[in-house]
Amino acid sequence: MRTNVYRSFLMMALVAIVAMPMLQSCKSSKPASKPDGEELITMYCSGPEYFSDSEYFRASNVGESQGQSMAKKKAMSNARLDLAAAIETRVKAVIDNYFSSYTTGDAIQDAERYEGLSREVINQELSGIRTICEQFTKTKDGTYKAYVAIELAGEEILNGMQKRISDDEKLKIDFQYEKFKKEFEKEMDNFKNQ
Amino acid sequence: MPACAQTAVGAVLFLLKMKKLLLSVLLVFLWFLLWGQPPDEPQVERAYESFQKTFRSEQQPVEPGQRFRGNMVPLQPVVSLPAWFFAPAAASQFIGISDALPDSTAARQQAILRALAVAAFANGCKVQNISDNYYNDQDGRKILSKFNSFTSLTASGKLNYEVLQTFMSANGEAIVLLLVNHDDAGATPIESHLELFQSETGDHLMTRLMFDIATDTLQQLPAQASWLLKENSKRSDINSYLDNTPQVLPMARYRYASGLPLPEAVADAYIFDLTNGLWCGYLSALTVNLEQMQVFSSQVKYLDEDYNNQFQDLTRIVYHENIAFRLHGITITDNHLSVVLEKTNASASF
Repeated sequence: MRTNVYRSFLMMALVAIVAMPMLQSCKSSKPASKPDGEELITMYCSGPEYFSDSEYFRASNVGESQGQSMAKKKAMSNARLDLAAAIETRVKAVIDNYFSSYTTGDAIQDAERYEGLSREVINQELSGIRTICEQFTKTKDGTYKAYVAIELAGEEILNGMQKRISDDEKLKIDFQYEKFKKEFEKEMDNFKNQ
Repeated sequence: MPACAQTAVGAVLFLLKMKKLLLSVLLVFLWFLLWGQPPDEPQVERAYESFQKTFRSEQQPVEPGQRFRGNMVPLQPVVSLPAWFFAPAAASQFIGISDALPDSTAARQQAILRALAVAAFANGCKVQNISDNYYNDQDGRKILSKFNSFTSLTASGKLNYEVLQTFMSANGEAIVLLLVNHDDAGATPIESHLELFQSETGDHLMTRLMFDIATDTLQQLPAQASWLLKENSKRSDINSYLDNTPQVLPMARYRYASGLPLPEAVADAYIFDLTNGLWCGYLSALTVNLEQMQVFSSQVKYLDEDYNNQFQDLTRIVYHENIAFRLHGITITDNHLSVVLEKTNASASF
């Protein structure tokens, strides 16, 4: 008899140990509540659709000011700077890859000529920038916030670089556009993997 | 009495005798401290002049009584504007607004000149801007410490006109609607120039908006008119000239009844306070909408300048564009004005 009671108790304990986590996982699923004192931030003109992809360089930014138009100017200015920085990084990689893979001959002199080319491309006028998102908010302090997103087709950059290189008497001799373009497209494709 | 004590007593007596002199020096020092600070207006002007030099060197392009405004200035009665003011104008129709002038003839002439300037801008204007971003490094993050923007808009044309509508407000403002033709025989050349300079450091925003029009004795009109607004968070000053004669502008805060809604809902239209008068709001709205129109080309420069040892980094955006536009509508809500402009092909707007 005592052995049976002991066995039953052991069985119940075993069932409880096995079933407990299962029961816990069967709890009705409540929506996750926000931690105390925290607010979900909605960022305008931000998110995957405003990321750069294989065709377009994109940048989003925000500007805050006492004046509505000034907020937009700041946001646009910041976004243009971000776009320029993103382009510069990619263009530098393209130039490095192209230079190490395809250039021949007077390599050291060519390296010096290619060096700084990415900055020069940025310093040239970037044509074809489009505003793809624009939102305004007013804060409780009475200031304005402008959210913007802009984009520029990669092709515009490629054309700009081709022109810059073609204008250089020395560089244009060895310049192999198709190979350069291939390196450029490879870099643009890298956006997909990020 | 020991010698040191004698010296101390002597010094105290000397100081007592010199009391008046010391008090005078102290008072003069306090006066300089409290009233010797430069007022805001020259500060705006200095910042503007400094930045203008930079602008000219960057863009290689292209100066004009006084009035103080504050909260103690009397409120004017609410003005209800005519329906044609709000209605979308035909492509060749333009609105001009004068200052609140005591002489209605001068007001009407000023309004006509201003409408012609708007027509010239609409037909095609050159917009140039440079914006400087001054950054500081704070804990490894770049913080925007100061932002300067300078925009210049220039337009010229040969115009003929016909006054379609005139409205005189109780404030003494003339509002005209012109039908404008350009390049007709007998038309008179006009040139107009707008400048908008804005500088913001922290929560201190300064604005300087300048408008200028010159013409060759156009049909009994003044040959030259200019208007200048200088504004910061505390005050606004407006100067207006007709043929180099300063116009006496009343000290007042203006109010206008709300008008028809914009033809299409434009959620993010810029809004402009009308307290400084209808022309101030209208001109500001046109200028800002023009400088903020979609600009396709811009140039980024990294100047890395040490600006007065306060800023560690300076980047500059330079852009220019030729823009023509059509005014699609004006609205007023809660004494704030908005306009909707549509970009058109140059020389094709009328």
